[in-house]
Amino acid sequence: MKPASAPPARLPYQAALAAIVVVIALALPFFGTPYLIDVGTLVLVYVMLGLGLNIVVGYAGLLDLGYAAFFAIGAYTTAYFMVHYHMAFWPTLPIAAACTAASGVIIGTPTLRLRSDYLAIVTLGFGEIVRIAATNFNFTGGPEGIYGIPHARIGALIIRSTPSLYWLGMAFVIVILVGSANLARSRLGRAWLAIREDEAAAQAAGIYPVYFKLMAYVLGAIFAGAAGSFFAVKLTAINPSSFTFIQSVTILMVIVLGGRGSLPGVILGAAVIVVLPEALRAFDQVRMLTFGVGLVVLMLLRPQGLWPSRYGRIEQEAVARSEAEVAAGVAAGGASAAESAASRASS
Amino acid sequence: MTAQPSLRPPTVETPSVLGVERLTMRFGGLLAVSEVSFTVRPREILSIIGPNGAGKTTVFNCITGFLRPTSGRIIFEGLEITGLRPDLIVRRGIARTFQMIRLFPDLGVDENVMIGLHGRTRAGTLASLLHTPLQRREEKWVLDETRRWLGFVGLEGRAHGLARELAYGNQRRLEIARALATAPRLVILDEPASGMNPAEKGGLVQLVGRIRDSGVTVLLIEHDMSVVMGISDRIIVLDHGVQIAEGAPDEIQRDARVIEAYLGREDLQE
Amino acid sequence: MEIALQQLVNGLTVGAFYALIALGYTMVYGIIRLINFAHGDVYAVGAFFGLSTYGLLALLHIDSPFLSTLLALVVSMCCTGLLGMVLYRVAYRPLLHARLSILISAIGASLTLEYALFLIYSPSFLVYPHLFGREGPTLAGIQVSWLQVLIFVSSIVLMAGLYTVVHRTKVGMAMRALAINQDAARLMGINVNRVISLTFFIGSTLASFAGVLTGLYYSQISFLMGFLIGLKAFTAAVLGGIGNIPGAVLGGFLLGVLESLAAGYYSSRWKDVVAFAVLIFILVVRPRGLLGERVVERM
Repeated sequence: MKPASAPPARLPYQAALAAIVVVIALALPFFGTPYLIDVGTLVLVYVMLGLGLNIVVGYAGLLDLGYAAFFAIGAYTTAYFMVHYHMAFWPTLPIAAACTAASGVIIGTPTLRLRSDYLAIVTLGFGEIVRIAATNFNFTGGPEGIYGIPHARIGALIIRSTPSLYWLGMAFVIVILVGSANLARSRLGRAWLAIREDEAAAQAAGIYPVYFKLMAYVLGAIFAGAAGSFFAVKLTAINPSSFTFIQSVTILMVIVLGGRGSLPGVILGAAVIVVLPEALRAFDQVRMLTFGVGLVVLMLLRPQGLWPSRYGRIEQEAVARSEAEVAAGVAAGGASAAESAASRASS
Repeated sequence: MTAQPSLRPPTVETPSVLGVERLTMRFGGLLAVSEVSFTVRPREILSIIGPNGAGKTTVFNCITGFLRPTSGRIIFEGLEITGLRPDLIVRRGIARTFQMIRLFPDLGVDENVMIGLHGRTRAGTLASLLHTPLQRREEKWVLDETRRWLGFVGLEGRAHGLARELAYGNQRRLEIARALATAPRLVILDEPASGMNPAEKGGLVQLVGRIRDSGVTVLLIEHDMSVVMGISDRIIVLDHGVQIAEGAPDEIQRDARVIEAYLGREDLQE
Repeated sequence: MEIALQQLVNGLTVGAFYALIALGYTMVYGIIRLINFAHGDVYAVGAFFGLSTYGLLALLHIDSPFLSTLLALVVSMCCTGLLGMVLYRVAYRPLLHARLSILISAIGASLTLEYALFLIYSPSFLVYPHLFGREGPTLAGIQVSWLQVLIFVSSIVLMAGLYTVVHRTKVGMAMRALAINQDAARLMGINVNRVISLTFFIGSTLASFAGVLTGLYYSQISFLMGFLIGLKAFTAAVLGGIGNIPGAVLGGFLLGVLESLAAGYYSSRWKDVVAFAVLIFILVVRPRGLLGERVVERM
């Protein structure tokens, strides 16, 4: 018998792509320029964030539009304790995890019973509240944020150079990646799938949806918190402008682009999201516009993402159903609509 | 692993598995179920029949916690379960299927059964995250148990496909396997034969018999009289939310009120 | 007391903007269960269309404040209404049943509109023509500008008009039917797509009306002006009971007043937190909103 959540049968090009990604990831710190390594480290940050949000959106099917709030809470916690209490980096990690988990519980408990699109708005509101609070409180340093954050150390080794930061990020990514993969093929992962597919049927199988939604939310928050902690020691200065709504949307874009629920998809999505704008730096003006148009086009053409999990099909079928219904509506009248539906069907 | 002995009364042998007492369900002005009472005895197959809209599924939804009854009590193995959450009722030992099949169509056949094992496994968040040896042992048990239940309903060769790819009759069987995987002592089947062809119905009758023989009590809603009369130990008839008859199949077939309720409407053949 | 009254007047003005935008959210949500993320940006586009019209009129030497404002409103409302229909046609219609995808598409549409304004007009604030002074009548010792009177009265008239359309006309009946059961409406011969398009048109015209008036009221506009106000208008719609037209109006005015009082008595820096806190509180305590018991009727 195959393992519970076996990945879909790999196409040859997917295997080749995976091999290329691994080779690049390993070779980069040895052969890359500092600039390239730094871009690579940023990719790693988005992989962490993407993996965390993937648990919420991909596994449990809950839409979170304020995910940057947990990223912020992790970053500010580490920064605050390192700067004001002169703590080392490592002990701030459990504190950051506790803070993000607690905020996940606080915002999740009352809201996870809501319809999922309401949840999207509440999380968006929460994200904005956290950002406004960070801008206005004194202990967060106001709009300037917290700077002069010390580097992380391992014994006498100070993690300051670009390659060493890259390896630290890689270590974070591997831990989160393994955790995510374990979750996907566990009892927890199955409970999430069941809730995502049919809540009533899940309950009939003995699953209490509210608990598992909350768990997805809390785990996602903790992963984002870890990413935030790493982000703080990488930049050594943080401020509220890194934790905007656009940041939340960017993280969402990582997993939507890659394919919700798909771990290789998250990695691919993070690489595209970071590298593409860097490559388009000359066209900075149109970057956000491209981003917006890209989201719409992606949803219309490939809602399941670049490297879909085998569950990507669900959304794809929903799209097909919408189109069928539009075509049916056409029968009632509207010649131009008929024409466009026909052209869509033929494409 | 499954039983929660502390919840059961110590030594008293309960005469009934399930007791429904004066169950009433009102939706706004509509009285869907009115003062229905019955008991289900251990290891019997009890069928609830009645014309469309008689309130059968409403009774099932109240028992399984998907609806909170307006009044009345539901006693399972001597303990009241009225208004308990559905997932907790499953853990107490009552499993159900749905009138319209509710599988997880885009998940694997095996995964559907594995999800049914949820309440019988314990791996928590940390164990799942870390993939601990204990969790691995449990997963192995899950695989064995899944294979066993798929075999029980006759789907052993189909484990790797998607649930949506199964034929209709086999989807019914899979739903039953998922229910049985929760290790229930009472299983409630809501019109399992609807939409089946005669051969599939024959197989279903056999399956229900084997479920009972394995020690599980069966409560059945069914329209198909050939199925009901063939396997039921007792039958309860509902009409317009009111219980109008109760008895063995041959008694029910002769009952004047039942004949009137059905023949007055001509959906006996349904 | 005087501060309270002054803030009340300001709150009612801002509340009228919230209410006008909230109507668009509530109508679209009522019919296709979509949180139209781009709606706030449609409002911003309306303000920019208005600005362009003013510019054009100035070139034509039409500078009567009332005539030019009337023309700016009409032109902007028509163009923005069409934009709303295009938005539905391109970004939403193919995704009506893909719950997650359509929401993400809406976010994409929102960014697209914002940064199209950024590129076409300006990355910084633009100044609106200053046509109406601060003067106006004094009510109960409170100075009210004529512009505020205009905003308040015209919004109420528009909202009453909308209510009449939805409840007294055939099209309105089609909308309400659609809100309750789309399949049944289709079987009754209602052209579902046309009714949804029309809903987007109406919602967008109301938003653009608010956009032009905001420009006149604050005398400056920017490409990001729709983001925050859009979120707040959505809050207002939820507060009143989403899908419910009188609810959106009530929610809009209530939120405007609440925020103004918070800004007047506490601190304007935390003003934005008030709206989001209200949103979370309402969703948790009474998810169907203040007038939500009529949720079955939807509109």
